[in-house]
Amino acid sequence: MPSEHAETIDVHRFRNRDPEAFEAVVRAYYDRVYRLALRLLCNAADAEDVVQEAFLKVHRSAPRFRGDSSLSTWVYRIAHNVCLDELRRRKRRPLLQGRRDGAERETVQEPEDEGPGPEEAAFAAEERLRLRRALESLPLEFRSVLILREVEDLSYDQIAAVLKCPVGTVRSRLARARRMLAERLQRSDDHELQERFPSAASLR
Amino acid sequence: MSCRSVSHLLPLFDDPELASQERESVAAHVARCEACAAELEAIRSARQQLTGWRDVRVPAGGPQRVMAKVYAATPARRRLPFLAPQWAGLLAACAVAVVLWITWPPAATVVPETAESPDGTPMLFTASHEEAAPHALRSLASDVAGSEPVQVAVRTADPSLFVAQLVAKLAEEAPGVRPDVQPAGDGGLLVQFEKVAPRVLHGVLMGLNEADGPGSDYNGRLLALVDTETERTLLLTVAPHGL
Repeated sequence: MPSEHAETIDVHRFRNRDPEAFEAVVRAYYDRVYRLALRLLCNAADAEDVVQEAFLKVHRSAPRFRGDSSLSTWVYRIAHNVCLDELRRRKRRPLLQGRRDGAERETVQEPEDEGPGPEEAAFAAEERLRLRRALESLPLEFRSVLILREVEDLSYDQIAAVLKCPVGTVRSRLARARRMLAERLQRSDDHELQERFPSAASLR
Repeated sequence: MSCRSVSHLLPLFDDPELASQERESVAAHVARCEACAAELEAIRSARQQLTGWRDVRVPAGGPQRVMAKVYAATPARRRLPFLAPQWAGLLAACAVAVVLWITWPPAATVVPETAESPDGTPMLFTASHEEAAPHALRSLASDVAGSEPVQVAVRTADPSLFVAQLVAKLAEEAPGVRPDVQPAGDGGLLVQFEKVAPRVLHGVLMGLNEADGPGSDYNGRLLALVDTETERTLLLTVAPHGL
């Protein structure tokens, strides 16, 4: 959990919307909020918009930050809610979104893209695509809990604070989500084998 | 233990949050059940793929874009002839007082010489460019001019937003200049600058002034620049928001 920057942020000044304190918050959490948005939305262009919207909300809500949870959890919660709103908006506009996704998927770049040779890169890209598809096929609450745990590395307690639900719910949801993801990845492996085999046969 | 009884714990096996008793029971089961051991491996492999997602290339300049968005998009600055470089030296040489007044809610009319003090009480006055400044404006100007710290009285519906914008603008145009902001009663603010060149302050305040447009959250208005030697107004933007 990102707490290493928290000590340097003057919470009282942040609550009073002091610009320097607010900027410190933006700098401390920007990268993590961006990563959360990118991984939840799977779309770099949307992620940047959502991050901006999330920090607008953080700024607007600053006076209401009571310190019941840590500042980082509070920022995560706002960012997470903005991401969910965006995903729900997408669901309501499937046609538009389909086009948009198609056009913008290419913009998601991974650092690994440049490292290995072309074959490894192609394999890694394919693996990422499979992972993304598997994740996108999960119900939203399972996807959320997986990203918060495996990507954001939050504890059960912290996830519970972000999602505002009991720790027991986090536990059971995480267990189901992990099992579902593993199953879907395996299924896509099997599917790929079946698809590859006939195409290899037709070459002969 | 049966497969069924450990199934809800199996996916959590590697988490430090799992109680040691729970972990032991899963370990004991997995040691003798091939199917569950295979499932655990599949879960571990999926988790490993996901942790690979932690590396993200974050676009550069993100925090700056956020700050710019939060502190209101300031419209492209109109460069007034008054601000042209050839005038800048002359202006700086003048003892210039800068009076910023923010009215909220916007007054219905501009009343000449309804003047008061720089301590947060409303004041409205009229004069044209190069006209002798109204008495109230002159007396206010004499309070704030010269090499002494410049004081600006501000009244605003949202003091924190005003200060945020002011600071953002200062950071852009006059890095290092920090205003001292004190509450001045009735929601007003007294903003004091330590030895800022009037030209710099003017640039900053004009930038804020231009942010004051329809649809903006900002209701500020740079009211006047008064040359305290000649007591003439150099620039006057009198109409409060909405007039």
